[in-house]
Amino acid sequence: VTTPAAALGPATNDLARAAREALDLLHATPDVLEGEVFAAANGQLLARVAYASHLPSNGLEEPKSTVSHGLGLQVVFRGSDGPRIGFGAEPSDLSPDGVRRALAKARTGAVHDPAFVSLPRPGPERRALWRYHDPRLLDLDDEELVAAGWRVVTGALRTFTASSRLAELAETEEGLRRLGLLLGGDVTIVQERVAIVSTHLPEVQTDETTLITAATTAMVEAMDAKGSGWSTGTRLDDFTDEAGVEAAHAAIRALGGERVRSGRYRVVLGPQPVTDLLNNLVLPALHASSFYASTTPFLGRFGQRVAAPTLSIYDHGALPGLTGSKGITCEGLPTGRTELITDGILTGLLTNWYEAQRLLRDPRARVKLGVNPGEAARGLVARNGFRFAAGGGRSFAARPGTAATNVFVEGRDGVSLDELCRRVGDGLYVGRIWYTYPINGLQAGDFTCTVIGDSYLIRDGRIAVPLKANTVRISDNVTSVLEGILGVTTEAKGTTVWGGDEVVYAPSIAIAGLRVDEIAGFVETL
Amino acid sequence: MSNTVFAAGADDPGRILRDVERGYYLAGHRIPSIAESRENFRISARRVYEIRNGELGRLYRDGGIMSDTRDYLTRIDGVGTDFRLFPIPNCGKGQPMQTKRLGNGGPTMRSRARRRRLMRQPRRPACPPGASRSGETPERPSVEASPAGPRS
Repeated sequence: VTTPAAALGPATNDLARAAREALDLLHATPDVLEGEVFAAANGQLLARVAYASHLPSNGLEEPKSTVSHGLGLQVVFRGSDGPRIGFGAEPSDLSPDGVRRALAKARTGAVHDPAFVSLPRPGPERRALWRYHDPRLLDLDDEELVAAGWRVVTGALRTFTASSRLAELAETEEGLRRLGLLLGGDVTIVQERVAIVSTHLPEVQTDETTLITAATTAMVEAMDAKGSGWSTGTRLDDFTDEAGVEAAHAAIRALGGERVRSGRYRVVLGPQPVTDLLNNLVLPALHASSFYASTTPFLGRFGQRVAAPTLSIYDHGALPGLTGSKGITCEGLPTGRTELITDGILTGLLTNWYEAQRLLRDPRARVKLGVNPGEAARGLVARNGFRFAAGGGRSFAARPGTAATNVFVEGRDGVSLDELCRRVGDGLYVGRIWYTYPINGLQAGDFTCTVIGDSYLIRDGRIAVPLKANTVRISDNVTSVLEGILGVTTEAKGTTVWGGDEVVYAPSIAIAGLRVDEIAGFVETL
Repeated sequence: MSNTVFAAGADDPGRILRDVERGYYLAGHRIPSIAESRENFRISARRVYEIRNGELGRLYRDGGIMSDTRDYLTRIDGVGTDFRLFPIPNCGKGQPMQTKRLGNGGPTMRSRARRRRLMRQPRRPACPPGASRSGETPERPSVEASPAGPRS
């Protein structure tokens, strides 16, 4: 492991100075009409958790880090056929030579884009979030990274050893080890420093962001019982053993899992499935680009009901202390709150500057949105133009895409989990799913996934017995899920899923019906 | 993984289809969903053709198959000679994200699985197994190729 603080590269002031100098260079170039410089230094630190009670293991494996810095230029060149827009990036070199190489790449790749209007321009909204990062996470050293990983491991082991159910099964300390107590997962820390300046936003802006997440899976392997835990946060002082403790408790609760037959069930979806469905289906369907490309199941339904009247979803990137918050977007625009679905009505879209401009000027916007573009403009504000790299970081090597920040899912009349289970009566509580994909393309809304843990049968309005992991596949449609909501809990948990950029503050949601297929019966005979 | 494939068999791909009295021919794949230990899968096809008496018939969209993996593999009764390897740009490992180019592939293959959701498409000429539309890559019933790849 390198020393992260040293490896993170240039300080934020260095990024700001480099961005200023790079823009000056662009403005001194005769055929440049508009320019934007985005300089970034990112670090991702990871401690892998890998404990097994009955096999040799280190508990914490391969703490590692990836770091990068560089700059990316968006440049509008004067061309014989009109303006030409290009992007070029240069890693690890913020000097004028690096800028010239990035500029040459931008020039080589420049094209005439009829949908291009301009680089981002300032609007009426102002930045709300300043100096919100944790300096300790930004300068974390190796020992603190490893200590964070061990905190999670020891939390899980303490929970396992304190369990009376496991003690009953094991009888002795050696017997406890033979049960095969497993803990896997990781603690991830993301450190981001950016500076941006452009022709239309001529004051250099900087942003520093940190976050720490943990995601673990625990097993009592001999009993085929599995559970998961996770935590999200922005400050090292607030990081606890929650992910380990929660995973071990969930694994113990999963002892004695049962199968269910194929059929249509009333279901309570826990925070992880809610987040997974949002990440893979609902949020992509709410991107302006999905309306422009006519690939959303909500096509032509702006201002119309797309979900049960109880449901509201919004994105808010400017709340202090929340894991997905940023001061500015990777386009230099303020973050803020975007209403997406309000009381079941589609009221706004996630967008960056380019996509908003393109959709609002699309001759077919009326058909794609379902309203005149002017009526939708208030719901198409570029608060979500980010250059997220997969797995964390704000990439200098990418043009701005669209990503959510902190996503809130709320019910008009929030209830307790007990009340949700009462509403379901007889059905399933699904707490963890995976490989959740829009199986027939996003517009169709069809999805499938398997249930891999943290799930239970609900009988007579109460959680009764565990559902055996990996024994059912869900296949349904996201539009019917949104329309069939029976209730939403008031309690929500910050949740991330694999490959997701956003943090969903996810409640549990009861659904009127989900198609479930029993799978893998042959495994019982192995 | 590097190149992980179903090997070619000895059967004529056209014959594999002609021997089917009633079934479906799946061509091209969309993103698949596999169970955690790969014990079950569901995969959608870009095109699904009805097979009646050994002939391709009506075309459907948004259809696919689901099966327990062991059942699917043990029920294979036809493996074509028309092997093809498909490039996959990203193994999908994480985290942090790691990428590795690899390949999945196989021949025309016949087995049994549960059908899932078919939407009727307008009729148009079918492209039989092993054949190619002009200027178009020949398609295979994909059962394994994954653009997203496995994720850890």
